[in-house]
Amino acid sequence: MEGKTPKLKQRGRQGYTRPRRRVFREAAVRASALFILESEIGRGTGLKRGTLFVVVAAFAISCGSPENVGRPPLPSPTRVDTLQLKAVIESYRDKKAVMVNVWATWCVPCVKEFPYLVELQKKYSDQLHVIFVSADFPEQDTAARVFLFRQGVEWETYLKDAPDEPFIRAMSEEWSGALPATFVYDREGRPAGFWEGAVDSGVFDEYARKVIGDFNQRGGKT
Amino acid sequence: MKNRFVAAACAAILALGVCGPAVWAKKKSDRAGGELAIGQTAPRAEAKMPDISGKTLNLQQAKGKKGLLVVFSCNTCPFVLAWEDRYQTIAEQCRRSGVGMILVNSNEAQREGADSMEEMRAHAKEKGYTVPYVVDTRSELADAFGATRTPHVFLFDSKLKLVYRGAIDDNSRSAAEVKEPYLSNAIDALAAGTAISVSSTKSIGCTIKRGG
Repeated sequence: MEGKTPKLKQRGRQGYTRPRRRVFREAAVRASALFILESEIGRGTGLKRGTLFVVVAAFAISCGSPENVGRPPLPSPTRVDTLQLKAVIESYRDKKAVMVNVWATWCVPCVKEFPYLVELQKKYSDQLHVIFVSADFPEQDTAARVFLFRQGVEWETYLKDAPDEPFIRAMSEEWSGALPATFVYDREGRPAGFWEGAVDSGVFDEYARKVIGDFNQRGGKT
Repeated sequence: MKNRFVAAACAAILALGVCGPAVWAKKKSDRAGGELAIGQTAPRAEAKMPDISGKTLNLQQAKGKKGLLVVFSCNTCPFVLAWEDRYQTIAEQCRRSGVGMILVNSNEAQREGADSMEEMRAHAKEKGYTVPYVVDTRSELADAFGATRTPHVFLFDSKLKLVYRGAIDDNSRSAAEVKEPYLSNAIDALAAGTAISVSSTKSIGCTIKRGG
C-alpha cells in the first residue's frame, strides 16, 4: 500500500547530510554571537553566563533542527464543490485528456488501484491529466494527505466538498455513488468512459491509450 | 443475394466504426447499471438467508403489512457507520408504519473476516439492532437487486413493488444537518398511500465486496 517517494529517497542521506552540517554550523555561529551579546545581558539580568549560554544555544540549535529541513510539506487537497470540479476538468479542454478518480483512504479497492493511476500520470504526463478527488470526511484530511505523500502525488488534488446526490449526478447519471469511480474525458472534453468499483489495472492504461490515441490518429486535430 | 450480404456486412462495419467507441465505453460502465427499477417486483423474495438469530428468513417473511425496507449494509464501511445512528430511528418508523425492515450483508469477499456471521452478531449487538441482519450468500440478492454499495436502500410496497431506492438522506455525517430525509419521507408516503415525490437518489458508499 505504501507507494514510492523517489524524490525523497534520492535526496535521502545526501539530502539530509548537507543541510545538517550547515544547520549545525549556523547554530554554532549564532550561539557564539549570542554568547558575546549575552555576556552583557547576563551582567544586566544577574544570570550566570553559562546558564544563559546553554539556553540560547539550545534555542539556536532547535531552530535549525534537521528534522525540519529537506522534508517537503504534505500535499493539501483543494476543497471543491461540483461546479468547481467541473471547471477544473473543463480547463484541460484542447490541452490534455483527463481521467478523474474519486477515491477515499478507507476504500480498499481505491487504495489498491491508486498506484496504477499515479504511474499513468507519469507515463502520459504530456497528454493526460489524472485528477484525484478524495471523498474522505474532513476528519480524515491528515490521513489523505499522508497517503498522497506516500504515493508520490506531486500535483494538485481535490477533496469533495459537495452534497452527494448532485455531485454524483453531475459526474455521471450512470454512477451509483460506489467507490472507486473513474471518469475519462477525451481531449475535447467529451466523456469517453466510466466505471465504478475495482477493475483490472490494464483498464486504466487501455482507456488512456484510447483517448490519447484517438486524438493522435486525427493528426492532433480536434 | 451476394450483394445484399456485402451491403449488410458493410453496414455492420460502418455501424461498429461509428458506434464502437460509445459501445465500448458503455460496456465498461455496465457495472454502474442494472439497479432494480421503480415499479419492479423484488427478486428472490422467497430465497432464505441465514440471520444472526440463527434462523433463516426471506423477504416475504420480513415484509410488513404496508411494505418492506431492504438495506444493504455491512460492519465496516465508514458511510454505514456514519448513517448507523439513524438505523434505529428508521426501524421504529418502519414498525409504526407497518413496514418490515431487513439489513443485508452481501460482502461475500469478506465473509471469513470483517463480515463473517460472528462479526455481524457482534456488530449488531454493539449497535443494538432490532431488525433481522442476514447473510447474502454469494451476494446473490445484491446481484439480483443491482445493489452497488453500502448503505443502499430499497423500499417496497405491500406487493413488493419498488417505490424508493438509493440514499437514506442527504447527509451521512450529521443527522442534525439533514435537509432531505429521503427515506423517511418515502416511508411516510408509503404508509399514507400517497405518492413518493423523490423515488430515486444516490449517495457515496463502499462498493459491495462481492466474492471473486
